[in-house]
Amino acid sequence: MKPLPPTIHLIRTSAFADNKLQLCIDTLGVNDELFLLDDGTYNVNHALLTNLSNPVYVLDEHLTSRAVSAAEFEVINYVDLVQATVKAGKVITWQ
Amino acid sequence: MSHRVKSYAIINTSASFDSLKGKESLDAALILASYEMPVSLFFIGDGVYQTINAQSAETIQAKDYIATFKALGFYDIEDIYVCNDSLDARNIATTSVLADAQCCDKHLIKSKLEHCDVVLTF
Repeated sequence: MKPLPPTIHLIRTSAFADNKLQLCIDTLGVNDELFLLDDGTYNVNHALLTNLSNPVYVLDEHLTSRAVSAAEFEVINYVDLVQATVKAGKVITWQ
Repeated sequence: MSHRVKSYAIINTSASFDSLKGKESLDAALILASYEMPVSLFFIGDGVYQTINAQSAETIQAKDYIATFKALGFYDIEDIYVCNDSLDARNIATTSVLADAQCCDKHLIKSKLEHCDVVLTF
């Protein structure tokens, strides 16, 4: 049986301001992937993500516009984001 | 009866771009100041994100109101307080885009707020 394509979660708000990232992590599957967009890019500095085993990606334009450094997370561009949503099994937006 | 001018406090609690609150709060501050009302600005919680250097609104085609912070001095708005605890929680250096900003702890912010007649939050 072909392995299920990963579910991806789009995080759009700062976990310093609301609990969306916490709620997302509470429902996270083992090989789900997280994408930080808009104010979600601020989460690169949040404790919730420090010891998270799931892969976390950050959108470059939204990061640079907020003058935030990506820390150890992988920075992607819009093309990568669209490709990820196309090959993903499910796309869940937390906003 | 002497009409004592009310002093205004504007508290920023939202980050720079996603909501328009940052821009609206700056507009409110400048309008009040242009009517000679004493205005003091506070940045707490996610509001401290507005004070980071080198933000570039045009990268995401957003209105660059951050550049307008330079006008604060011209409007005599010099009482600007940025919450140190919020900066630390977000791992942000205290270098600020606001010339006259003072980084301080929340106790000082609380005491400053007590002197303001009207407090608006954004």
